[in-house]
Amino acid sequence: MKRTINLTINEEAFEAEAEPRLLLSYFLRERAGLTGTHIGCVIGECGACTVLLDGRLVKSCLLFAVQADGRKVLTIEGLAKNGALHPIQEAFVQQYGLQCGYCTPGMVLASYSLLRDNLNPTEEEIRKALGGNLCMCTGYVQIVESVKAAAKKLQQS
Amino acid sequence: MAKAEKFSVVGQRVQRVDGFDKVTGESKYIADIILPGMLLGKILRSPYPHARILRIDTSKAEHLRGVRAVVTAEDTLKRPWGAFFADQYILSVGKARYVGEEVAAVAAVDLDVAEEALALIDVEWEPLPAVFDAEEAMKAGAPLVHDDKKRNIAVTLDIERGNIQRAFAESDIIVEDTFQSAPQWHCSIETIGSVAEYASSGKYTIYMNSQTLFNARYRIAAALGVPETDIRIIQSAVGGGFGGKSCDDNNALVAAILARKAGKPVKVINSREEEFLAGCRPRVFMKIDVKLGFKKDGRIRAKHIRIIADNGAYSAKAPAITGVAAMRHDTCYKYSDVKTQAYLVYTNKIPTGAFRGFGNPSAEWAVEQAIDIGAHELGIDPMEIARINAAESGYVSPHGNRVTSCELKQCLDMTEKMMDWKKKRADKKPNTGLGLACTVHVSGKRHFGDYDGSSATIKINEDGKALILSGEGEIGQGVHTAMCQIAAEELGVRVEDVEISKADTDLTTFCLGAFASRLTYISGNAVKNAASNVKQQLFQQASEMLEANADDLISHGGRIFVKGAEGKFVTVADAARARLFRHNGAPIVGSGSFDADSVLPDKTRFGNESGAYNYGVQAAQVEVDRETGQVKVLQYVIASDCGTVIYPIGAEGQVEGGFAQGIGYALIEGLQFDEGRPVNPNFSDYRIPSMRDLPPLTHAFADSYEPTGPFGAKGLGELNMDPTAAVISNAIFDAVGVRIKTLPITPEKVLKALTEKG
Amino acid sequence: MVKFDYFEPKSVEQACAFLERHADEAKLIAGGTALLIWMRMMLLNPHVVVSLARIPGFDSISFDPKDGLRIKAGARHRDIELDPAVREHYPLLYETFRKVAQPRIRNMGTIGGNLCQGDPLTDPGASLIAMDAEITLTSSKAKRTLPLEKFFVDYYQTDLRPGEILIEIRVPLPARPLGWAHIKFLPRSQEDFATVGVALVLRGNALGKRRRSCAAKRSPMIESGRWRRWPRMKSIPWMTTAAPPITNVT
Ligand SMILES: Cc1cc2nc3c(=O)[nH]c(=O)nc-3n(C[C@H](O)[C@H](O)[C@H](O)COP(=O)(O)OP(=O)(O)OC[C@H]3O[C@@H](n4cnc5c(N)ncnc54)[C@H](O)[C@@H]3O)c2cc1C
Ligand code: FES
Ligand code: FES
Repeated sequence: MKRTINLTINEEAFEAEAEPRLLLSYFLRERAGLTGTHIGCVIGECGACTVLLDGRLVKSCLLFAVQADGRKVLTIEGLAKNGALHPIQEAFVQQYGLQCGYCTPGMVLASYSLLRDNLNPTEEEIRKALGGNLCMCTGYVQIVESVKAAAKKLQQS
Repeated sequence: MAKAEKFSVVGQRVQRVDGFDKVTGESKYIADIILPGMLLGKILRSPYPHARILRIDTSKAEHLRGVRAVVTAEDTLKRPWGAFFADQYILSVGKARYVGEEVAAVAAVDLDVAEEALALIDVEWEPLPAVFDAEEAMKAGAPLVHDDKKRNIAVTLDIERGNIQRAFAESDIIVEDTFQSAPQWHCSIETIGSVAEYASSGKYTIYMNSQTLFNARYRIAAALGVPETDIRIIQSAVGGGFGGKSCDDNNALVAAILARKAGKPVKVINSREEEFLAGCRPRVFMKIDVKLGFKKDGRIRAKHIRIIADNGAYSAKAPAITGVAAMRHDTCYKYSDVKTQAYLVYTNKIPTGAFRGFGNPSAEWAVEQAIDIGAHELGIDPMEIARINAAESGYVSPHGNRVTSCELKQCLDMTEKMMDWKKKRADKKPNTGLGLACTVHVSGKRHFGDYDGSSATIKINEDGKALILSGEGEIGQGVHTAMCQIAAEELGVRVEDVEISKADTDLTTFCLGAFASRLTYISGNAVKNAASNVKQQLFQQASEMLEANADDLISHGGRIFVKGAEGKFVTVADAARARLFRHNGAPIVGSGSFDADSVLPDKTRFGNESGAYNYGVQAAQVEVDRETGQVKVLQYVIASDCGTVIYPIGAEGQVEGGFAQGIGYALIEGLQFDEGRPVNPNFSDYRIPSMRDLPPLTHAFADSYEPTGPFGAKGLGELNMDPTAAVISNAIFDAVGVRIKTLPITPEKVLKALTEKG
Repeated sequence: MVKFDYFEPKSVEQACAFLERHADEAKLIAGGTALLIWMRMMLLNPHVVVSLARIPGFDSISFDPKDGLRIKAGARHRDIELDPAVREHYPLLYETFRKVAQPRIRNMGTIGGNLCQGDPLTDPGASLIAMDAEITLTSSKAKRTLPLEKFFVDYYQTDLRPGEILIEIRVPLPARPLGWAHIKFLPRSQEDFATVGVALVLRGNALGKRRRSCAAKRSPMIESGRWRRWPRMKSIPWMTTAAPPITNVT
């Protein structure tokens, strides 16, 4: 039994039909065409599929799309505004917080959620907040540096 | 010796050329590629480690609504393929040899339908006796994985250089021990995938997240029985490789035959479980006996190593990896007499293969521990033992590796300082200890045909920007940025004015791809040569415009001028346009090639395997909890010799990332098999290091210059994970006096060893 | 994954009615973080999935000094962690919920789902048992309350009966001063499930009368296989065992 699912994605209304068994991550990628939400494990461990649901950080592979019906989703595509990178994205480019970039959308969104609540996180707080994002390339050092740089940028703006 | 040169782009902390696409989510990875009419493919895998296929009935699956194609071995040429030995099939022919082997596949309108169809394929199996342990497999009477491979042996090496018997006789002490390395999965967060399209003209276009496109093309062409030209491979963005995406698996081949049969593009993406079962080929696991003879003063006099390596059911890169494990480390220290014996053995498990380090991490896990044992027995500081034996520029290893630059001793000094080694050794605290290990790696390796080179083309656009066409490909390591820097440096333009193409086998010249830490050195040389060719053309044109002699010209920041007369210049754009828009006009475009001064190994395996060797030293301070056996790494230090550092921020990332994989290998990662069946093929049970699992790391690069490298550079990518496991184990021994000889080093093992020691 | 129909009742009664109607066919879903993984692995194949997420008030947390803490089953780990009363009066619970996975899982997973999943490797069970928590279950036929400890039967097995829904967890207000500790032993990775988890509560005037502890145990994958045991309350007379000093006292 297909259902119509209504979401507000990146501040725009979006509606599509889906079977209840469709995961939110696939709904975003396949129905809404937002392929910045990546798939790494589909078991809630890697964080590549991270999005914000009603402002809360979640792993979109652990939710059916129907569970998100009527709610607001923020994906990586919603961060840059009018072609200008969000300061966190800028920091990830400048501080080399990425190599292959596959984990990057999840890392950036987890940083976004952290820095929204805490503009001056300690290294430990950063590592805790982003602990649920796995990265096989970077060894995380430059990612942590990116988050610190992003915090500075946000403090100034 | 190190040579200081001043560069304007090389060595600068430039930004990644592909950073923007990655932070916005715009980068198109393999799963993001969608073609009109595309179907999704799923693979039916063997549930048995060894079983004959008596019958396959696909009729039910074919009739399921939404299914567009079902394929089995009957849809293939049943022709075996492989990197070194042709021994694996696209889909099982006659029998399956490991759990996860591809047996049949389905293309359907969506994944759920494809999965339902798989369940409808009826296979009648006859399970056969299987063998899971390499040593068991070598015994007489063990089940044969391949009927024609006696005692399951794929490769035997038995090499002696010098006189090993005499060398041991002349040694003052002899250390002998056995170490076991473990399999490790690459765990790229993006799994392997392909999108294949077949045109009725006979041409396949395959999008792959492969790290070695032309090798992939060669193997795919061979398996499908078509000329290389009929295969076009286009690289998508690649979400990490580490050796796992070097086309030793069947993913793209299955996609290709499904696409041909369905007449529609087909996408096949491995699930995480499939990736563990039969995707990337995990690190070859080895049992290694090491025997070392030392002189009293710490010099290593003799080395005998005996390796039994697990090939799994088919040969991917393990034949070459076994050779590396057997011999590479002899380029790290000055050896005269060495003996090496190695057996690569088939078992009914996933084929093993290329993983960052390529045999080195296994060998160093054993040899660097044996050296540490020797140091303790001789009462010599491990730092000193390393210094006494360290290779130097000009060293030629017993196997013929010629070292043109080597800053291993400098790296030891740096490590000693960064770790505050002497002081920490002097005031040793209970349950804490220091460990050290050295490493060597190649910068490219001649083993796929008699070629260890690269080529590139650079064209100058009408706006003066340069575009590099290269088939090497970017897999995340940042090579595209380094190539743009090298081209910019040579051309005398800003790095922002250089772009690099995607790798595409139809549009770029032959390139071997990302392996053997080769790209900066080998592709860097090719790009530099191409840039130099283009620069000559630009100068030729500019010399007419400036009425000057081309030999007197230099370029900087995109301007070409007579040296010392910067005021009068033409821009690169001016020159490019002037060359194009005129009678007999032509674009400015040039190619460059490079082939390293290395030797294709023959039966005796003698000869220089690479154009340059990179070196490194790592040290750790650990603390061991005697109650739980838990090991805490308090501090970690790495010094690397990679010649000139072209792309510093990228190079740092390579060190840090390699180190993280080293820590995973040492302390965290482990896949368990039950009768050949992986027990924990997912990220919940096969853990990889998270952000909170990594200890503080200090690292630095040696002042170094490789005379044959582009602007003095050599390789770096693999160096950083090679010795880590040995470093940790050595430090644990120093801390609590127990030696762990199997990987990974779990708290249980440490606790057990402590209890046994009493 | 099998196809299924998805219902979103607006009250517990409605949800019970759905469960009764579809009996074996139906599964409840709260956050879905556990159910979804099982369904993907085809370990559970319900044809009807009944969501508890749209029942008003099903995620509330309330505190009353006499009555104690009442957590509705739909409260997410993160809600409990951030609740001011939990932080003030139940420091052990605050400490425990802070350690459940990462914020992202805590934002999704509910306490009800956690307890009903019956996975002894998870964290909240031990601490709740140590705090003498009791739970209330209801079905369209009956309602019952029992100590949490009795609820856990075996590895992935609870005393949840067909048609029942866990609606509430009540934790009495502990007497002060209270000594407590929660230890989650993670030998391989900080992001792992616990190998061994211990929750410990000390009470009595001099902090010395008796010591209670419970442990959830599991050993890591590598080598020895798992211990699949549920936490059991152990009341240990104080002073009988040498124990490390308890530093958390409130
Ligand atoms: C990546 C990851 C890491 C994790 N790490 C930890 C950790 O470190 N520590 C830890 O403690 N836990 C951990 N967990 C487990 C997590 O706490 C549980 O998955 C979660 O709490 C389950 O809640 P849920 O609401 O998502 O349950 P659901 O998946 O919705 O439900 C789980 C089960 O309970 C049943 N159910 C749900 N609610 C009720 C109810 N009210 N009445 C009756 N039955 C009900 C469902 O039918 C289902 O069978 C982790 C989970 C993941 C995915
Ligand atoms: S894909 Fe969702 S956490 Fe890995
Ligand atoms: S940058 Fe590759 S996984 Fe993080």
